[in-house]
Amino acid sequence: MTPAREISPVAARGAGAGAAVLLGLTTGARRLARRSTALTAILGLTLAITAGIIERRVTAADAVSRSLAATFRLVVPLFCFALALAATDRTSLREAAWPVARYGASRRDVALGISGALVIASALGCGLLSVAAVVCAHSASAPPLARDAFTSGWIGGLTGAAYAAWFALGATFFERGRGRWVPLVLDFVVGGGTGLLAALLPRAHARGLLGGDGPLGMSQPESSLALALMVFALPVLAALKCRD
Amino acid sequence: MTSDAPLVALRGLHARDASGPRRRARGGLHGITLDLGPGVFAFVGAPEDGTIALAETITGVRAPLRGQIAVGGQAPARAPSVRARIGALLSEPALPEARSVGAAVTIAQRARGETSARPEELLEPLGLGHLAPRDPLSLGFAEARAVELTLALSTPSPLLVALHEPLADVAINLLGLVRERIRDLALAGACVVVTTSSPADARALGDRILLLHKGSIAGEGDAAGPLPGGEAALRAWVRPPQSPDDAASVRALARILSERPEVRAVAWEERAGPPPRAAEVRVSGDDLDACALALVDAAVEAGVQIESIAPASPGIGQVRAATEALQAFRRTATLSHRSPVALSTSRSPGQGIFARLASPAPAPAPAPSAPPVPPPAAETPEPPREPEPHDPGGGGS
Repeated sequence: MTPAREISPVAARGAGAGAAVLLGLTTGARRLARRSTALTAILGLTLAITAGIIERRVTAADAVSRSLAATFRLVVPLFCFALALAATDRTSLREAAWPVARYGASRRDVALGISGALVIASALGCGLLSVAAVVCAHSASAPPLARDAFTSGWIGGLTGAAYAAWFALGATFFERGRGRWVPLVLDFVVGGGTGLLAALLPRAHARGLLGGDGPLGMSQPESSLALALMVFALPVLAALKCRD
Repeated sequence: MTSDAPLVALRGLHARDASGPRRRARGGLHGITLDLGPGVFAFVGAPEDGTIALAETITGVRAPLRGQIAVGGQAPARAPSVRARIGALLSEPALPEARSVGAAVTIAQRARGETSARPEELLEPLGLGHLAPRDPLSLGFAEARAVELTLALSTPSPLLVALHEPLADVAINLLGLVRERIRDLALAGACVVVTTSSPADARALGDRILLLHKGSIAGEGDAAGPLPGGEAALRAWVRPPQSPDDAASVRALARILSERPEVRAVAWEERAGPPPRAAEVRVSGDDLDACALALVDAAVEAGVQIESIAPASPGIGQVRAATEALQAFRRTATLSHRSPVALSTSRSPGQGIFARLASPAPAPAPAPSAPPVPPPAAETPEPPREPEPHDPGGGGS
């Protein structure tokens, strides 16, 4: 039997900001590495592949665009929403940070780390979904596969990250983070438009980047910038809402 | 924080937990004012009385609804640096997400700011080393609580260690070590708050016992003193010698005890089984040490063997019933409507409500370190007496 640990005379001060963010990243990544997330990814991938195959079977002309549109309209937001639920353990972001924050790390920093893990996982997952949709819908008459897959991949990644950022912020509102439903519903209801509200949501910008009309007549670089702004600003806002 | 400031200060604290179904409140606190210093303070009560709410509020899980709480001068819900010096075992375990228990312990140590995180050093002493490679999600409730208890007891230089039911639902065989560790933490200057629904656990761990009743502190007293609903009593398990009439020996023991002036009441109950049948003897009196000596003398005289002696504690049901009766009596007698108890880090002798109401002798203070709080308005009704112990084996005196 090892003797009991001595009581340390050195007072603990809690983890520093960097360490706390890293702990939040680890916590979020661990939650996202569960089997349920893998099943969600498989389901999303199946839907994206099915959409691609169906569109190509209907007609090869413009099949890639239609396949991508279907994937971005439904699969990407729902996939990101499922990841957001997993990363926050189906509760609010503030409570999701508690298992680490209770030991002395700042809630704000841990929440930022969890949001970071969610954004990264969503970007990677949605990038993969977009590539799968392109590959499955690709035909001989379509543009070169590599270029199409790369372009769709980064658009998917950026859009997925923007969705994740919105869901992270939404998870700071209402009991058990039910506020994450607000951006999802708004995106479905008004995200298809081209007005001011649509400009605040990822769907309209993704449509612009894929060759459709951007919100408020924004160009593709402007839409990219808007999405990047969401990716960086919203998790910070979410973390600030979780501060001690 | 100045040196004589309380480690934990509650001012008009209103709080509630979220441990009921669908996260509804199960219990709450209603305007509690307390100052706690170093030592072990055992709060006895059911979750409905606010024990979980108290544990969650002082550890920063949730902010109070009203009032103020300060641990080391700061609100634990808002100060991460204070939380790093708070050890907590709460009603529901919440270990950090990790691939193994060892990794979860490492995360907790890093979150506290410890540079050298070695989980095995923490888990081994309490016999939990075998849990280190396990997935935290595979742990049972009691195992997860055991790991949390280990983490709580290893808090570096703690200001506060709050333990909810530390001796129940904890998969640790070495509970003696847990008690020893709690004692060490208190001696090192930490405030240890134990919330429990077991008066026996409260007695075993606490320096002082505070009775939580419907969200308020209904009384407090020294751990050695009696609780409402129970008087000072001993419970002994005795075994008569091999003889045809083993009941006679136990009756003789009871008769001898009943003649001793230090013993107020004796009761016994024989256990079922083949002779010699063991019997449980309950002895009550003002001085438990004197009762124990009388029991030993009587056992020698009657020729029975004592297998164990332990102080008897009333159950939480008895304590609550007695407290309610006491409060009803106060209301009926239009005794003063009291403000919440202000418990200092030190107590003057006989200041506690238990001491004044239930014990004829004033209880000594554990460790005076701050000016005593003046006692509330005097009122000394007799305590409700516990009914005489049940005596199916033949009777008592």
